[in-house]
Amino acid sequence: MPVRSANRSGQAYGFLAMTPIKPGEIEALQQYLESLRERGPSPLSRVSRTHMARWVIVPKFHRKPAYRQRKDDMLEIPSLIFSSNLDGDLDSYLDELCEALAPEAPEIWGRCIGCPPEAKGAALKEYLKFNQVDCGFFYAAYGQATVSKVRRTLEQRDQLVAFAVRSQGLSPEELQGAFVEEFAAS
Amino acid sequence: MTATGTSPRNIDGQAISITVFSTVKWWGRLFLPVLFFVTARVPKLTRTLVQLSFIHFARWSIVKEIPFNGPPQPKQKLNYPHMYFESNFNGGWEEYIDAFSHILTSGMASFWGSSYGFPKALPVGPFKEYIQDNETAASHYYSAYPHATITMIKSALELDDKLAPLKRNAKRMDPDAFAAAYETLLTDAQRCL
Amino acid sequence: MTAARTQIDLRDLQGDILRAYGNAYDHTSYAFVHIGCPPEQARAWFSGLVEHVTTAEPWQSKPVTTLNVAVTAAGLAALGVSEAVVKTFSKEFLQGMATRAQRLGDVGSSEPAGWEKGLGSGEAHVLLTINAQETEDHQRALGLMSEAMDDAGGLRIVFQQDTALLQGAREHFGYADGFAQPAVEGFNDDKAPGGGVPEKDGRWRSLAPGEFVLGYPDEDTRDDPKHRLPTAPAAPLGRSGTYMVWRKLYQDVALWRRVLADAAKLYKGGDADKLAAKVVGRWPDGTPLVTHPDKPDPSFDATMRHANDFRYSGDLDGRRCPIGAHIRRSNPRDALGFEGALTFRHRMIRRGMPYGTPLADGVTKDDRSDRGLVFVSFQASISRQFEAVQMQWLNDGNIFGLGHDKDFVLGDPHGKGKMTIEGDPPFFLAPQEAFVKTRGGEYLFVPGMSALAALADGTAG
Repeated sequence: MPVRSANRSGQAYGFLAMTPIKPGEIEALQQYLESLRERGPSPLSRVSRTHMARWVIVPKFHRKPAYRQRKDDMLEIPSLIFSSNLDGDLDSYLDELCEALAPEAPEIWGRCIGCPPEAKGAALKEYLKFNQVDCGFFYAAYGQATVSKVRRTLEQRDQLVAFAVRSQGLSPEELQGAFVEEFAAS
Repeated sequence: MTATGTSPRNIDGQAISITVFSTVKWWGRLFLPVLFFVTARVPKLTRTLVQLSFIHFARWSIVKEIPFNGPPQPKQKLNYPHMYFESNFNGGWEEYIDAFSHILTSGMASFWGSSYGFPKALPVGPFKEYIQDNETAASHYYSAYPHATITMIKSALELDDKLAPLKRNAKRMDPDAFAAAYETLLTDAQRCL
Repeated sequence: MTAARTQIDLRDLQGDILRAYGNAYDHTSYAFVHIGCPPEQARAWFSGLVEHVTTAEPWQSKPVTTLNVAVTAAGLAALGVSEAVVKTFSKEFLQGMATRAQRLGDVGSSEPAGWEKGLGSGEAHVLLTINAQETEDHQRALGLMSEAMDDAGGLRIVFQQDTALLQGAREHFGYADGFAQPAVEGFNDDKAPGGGVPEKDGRWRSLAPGEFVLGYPDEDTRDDPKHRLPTAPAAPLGRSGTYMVWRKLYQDVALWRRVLADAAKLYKGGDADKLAAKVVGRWPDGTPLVTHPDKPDPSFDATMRHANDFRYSGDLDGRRCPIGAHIRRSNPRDALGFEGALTFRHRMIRRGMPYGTPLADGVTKDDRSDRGLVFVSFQASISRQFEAVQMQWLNDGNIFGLGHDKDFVLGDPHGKGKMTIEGDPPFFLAPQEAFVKTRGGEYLFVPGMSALAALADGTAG
């Protein structure tokens, strides 16, 4: 059995699914994925526990004659990689993903062999898990922080910097009043 | 703007993705799992990676077999294991590879030494070429906080811890005590601001 | 094991790259010429020029004037170089500076749409740099240049910038400039303390010449068992050549003075001069802040061997010299740790000159006069050396742990930034206005002497 804990660093989890692409669909899939940026915010922004994620099409395994690799090992069929760095429990994350990406999934995993016909819900989740590749070594610089904590603290930092700049020279009373209003009013 | 040196498809704001597949020699099949196991458990080995501070998330994974999803997928038996590497980082692609080449020389040799075609990590030129040859551009890349860089995030998290007591107590302190505590906080947390 | 010391062919190298003309000349003119005639005609003119180009050979007596020549990517084509050969030049050189404005931070009031006519438009082909000591010699040299162009026909100057040294070799914000340069092996090893790569135990070593001149081993060659040389344009053009970055940077001196004077009212660590020194990282006379945090050193002399011999590892918290100070950003030395491994491949040779008349001391109202700095740098790789520093060290702060803070001196077109002056407590200097605006620039190539001859002959391929 694969070592599941190798996928964790802090509370962060590294998920990867490598799915074979249906013959003749690689161009369409490539174009569709590349066009996502033009249509507006990434669909992955709807999966709120995603820190960073990518779709990569791997047409083959690279090989150069200079490598002196004795045998060929071409990928018989091109693959789609989906890799996500996410928060917390994998199963509930995949539930959220399969729900939130319902509009796009048929165009993405729907173009892969073995994907359930409707490309959503529990069936899609099982398909992705079946094709999961475990991490060997997973590094997360701030694995203890969730997406929402990262966003909240980044905003707070901006807020404190702006506050620190404008409140230089205030008297103690003014300073305390301004600080309370900005950070402790509740 | 700091994210440069790679395809625009690999970039989201300040975040850059790199994806590399390499074919692994027979002995890597034995060596790599041990390397992964040890690296995860010995903090000293990742200390430099932490100090370099330009990686959000990175991973190395081994693909030993391709799961069979039914026809028309042919059943494929791989002759070699294949290693997948991904990183999510800040700064320019060139500076990133340069840093790995000079500073993590033995680390690079450990992770890629068992891959076919890996030149040494130094000199930089051939190492960059090797990465470029084995790299695949993402078709779509997403970051939940694209404009933030690693050190900003680490600073933000540290600042949160330092600010918490003052936020809690601010209302009930007397103004002079508050002003002194605020000044202490700024002094203490200035590297986060 | 160190390889045998490389011998540089000084006759083949243009002057002022490795061997500085220094402050020997009061006047420098930069004339960007556009070639409007067929290549053969242009090459005839170019041959005439090449005869007068000053090389890197040591002088017996200082020449009255010097001439150096550089070309843009468009200039190579105008001189008849084939597309196949032009393609062997670096990508950023071929694209040109204006195309890469976004990444350089040339936005808002610095964007190419607002640049002075003739710069960044693709019209500039050949840059003539003329240095002269006396005004009469300067005028005569410019006259000769014009005559030669008139004789040839089909050539015109699309942009010219005249510059002159300011008293004390200062730049317009009042700071001594230009004396801190990389130490190159075989050239100015005496400047290695401070100008070279900081090593363990306080030692310094000079940089390989290939970091600044093509056709020679660079720092990467050191680590290469095959001793490969860095990428260069196809022979014969690559050898003894280098890439040049040229930028006209307007400096709003009145604004700089006003902002610092205002901010100083709240600054408890000293007066406006101290605050300004904190921003720059040096006192106006050049004394480094990291060695003299409270006041300049009366005995400081920029020409002394050890003038630049200092490090930041004893000041990692920035209490002496702020972490975001200008000189600390543009050359971090050992400040990033790892024995300088993150910094040593990003050095540049700088040879710029101030332009325009100084704004009288104490004046804080803009007089609408054009003044600033012509920034000139030489490096083997524009992207690794100039652009990386601009993008990662000056226009951003992540590598220093400073978030998105930018170099305060360069300013911010949106007037939004700040700078942290580390201390007990820290001081936040704001607003960061647009103190410096890019008025135009070009990426150029400075061919070696035999390369110039090949260009003139039409044998460059």
